[in-house]
Amino acid sequence: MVRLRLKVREILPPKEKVCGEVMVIDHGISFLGDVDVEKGLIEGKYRVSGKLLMFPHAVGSTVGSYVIYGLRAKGNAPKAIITGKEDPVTIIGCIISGIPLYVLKGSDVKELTYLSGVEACIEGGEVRFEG
Amino acid sequence: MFLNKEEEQMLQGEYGEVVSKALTAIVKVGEVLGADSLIDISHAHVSGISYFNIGDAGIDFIESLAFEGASFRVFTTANPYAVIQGYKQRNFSDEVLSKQLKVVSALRSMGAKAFTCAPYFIRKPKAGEHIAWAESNAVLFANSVLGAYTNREGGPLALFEALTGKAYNAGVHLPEGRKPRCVVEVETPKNYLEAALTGYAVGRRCPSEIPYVKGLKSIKEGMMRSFLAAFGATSGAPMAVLEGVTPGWRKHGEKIKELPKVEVDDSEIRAVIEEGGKTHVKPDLYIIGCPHLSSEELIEILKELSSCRRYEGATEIWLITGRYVSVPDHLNRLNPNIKVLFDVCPVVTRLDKLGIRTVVTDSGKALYYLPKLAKVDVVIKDRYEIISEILRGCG
Repeated sequence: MVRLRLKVREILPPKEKVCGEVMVIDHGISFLGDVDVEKGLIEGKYRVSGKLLMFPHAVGSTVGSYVIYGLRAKGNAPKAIITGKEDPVTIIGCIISGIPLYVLKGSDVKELTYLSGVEACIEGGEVRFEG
Repeated sequence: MFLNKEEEQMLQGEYGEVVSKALTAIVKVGEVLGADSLIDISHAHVSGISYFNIGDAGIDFIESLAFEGASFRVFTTANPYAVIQGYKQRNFSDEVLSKQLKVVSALRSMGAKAFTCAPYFIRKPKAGEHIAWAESNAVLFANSVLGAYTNREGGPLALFEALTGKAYNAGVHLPEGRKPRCVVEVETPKNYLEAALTGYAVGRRCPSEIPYVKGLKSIKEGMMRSFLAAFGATSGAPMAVLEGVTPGWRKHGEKIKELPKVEVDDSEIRAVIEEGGKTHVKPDLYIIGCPHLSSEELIEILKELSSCRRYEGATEIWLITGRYVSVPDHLNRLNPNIKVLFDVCPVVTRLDKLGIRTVVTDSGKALYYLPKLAKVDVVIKDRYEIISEILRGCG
């Protein structure tokens, strides 16, 4: 059982609250090269479809924005992305794909891997993990 | 961020949904990068054109924008696309060809004027002009040689800037963002190979900051482009201040003396060649034209090769350029193995799938990217050495 509230900065907030199962990746990801859009998998093992995806930062080519769009086009997009550090690739990818985007405040994504699989809701600049 | 009335209206959808979405992206990225306003741009240059790079998702996105009726609001050029006419008798599948052509058609329908990595040959921006270009070699040439102002944009962002005519006002659009942070003194390159290797080495030593470079004042434009393209491959910086070249270079004046000095010596430059290491391997292809050749460069090479009536070497030759060149007729049809390719880029083409294993080029940028993107081995040689090798294969 986990109960935790973390603050986030809203970069691209949706109109309503967004809830789902959390998937935490503890290292930087390169959307170009690391993502299988057909399967909704990052690095062959992290399933991101319909999840609240958390990662510390994105690396690599700006073409990566199109890969985020590809996840959406294949119905495999995450429900929301919470990143440790905002970057143009992720911002643009989320805008063109309609994915809510947040930046984690005051915590380090790398220390939150134990939250993978937990249910959470994001609303009012806060993520509530419960379950 | 402060937005003027027109920008507010764009954001609110009065110019259509595509413009609204595009401006939202620019504003968000601008906010992250510390911009407090937007600026009008006069020329956008879009990258992310090769099917091999952007994949089905990229095609889908660009095609849907075009199908929604989006069009570029400012003069817009685009990067070259994948080589689609094949190598010897080998070609890509019809599926790959048609997917690549879909991207080209969609961009043309939105108003793209040309496909080249040297957009300054299509429309040369003036010093102080604000533009929004993706494609690092073009960005570096615009800022460092022409004195125009552009950040090093990514593919989708430059597309949005083309659709809105706006860029975020940060980075090298501001005087503060154009200041050098280190000083490099290089030995003046005597040929294309040295220009490329020097750029490659300087980029390695200054991977993120704008350098102040001494020693390039007297080199010709083609070598300058070669230097900058290689520098842009190994460095993320959007410009270099070139002593005696960059408009306004003098205003950095005395402050240069206070900057940290970065040494780039000969051994470092030689090391770049040795890392390639495969000089004994027989190449499948010669590539000259990364970045795209100017008219003058192409004519010079074709003249050198014009004595070659019957080329019998097994190695095919690709000279890469854009539609801006005009070549005298008698130089145009030399030999089936010497091909002048327009509007394309072998570096963003899966050359391995055409059966090519080793490429010889004079480009430092190609040296960096060919193994990563085209999946082939590369050997770097000087342009004139390549021409001599080709001439030795002539009957």
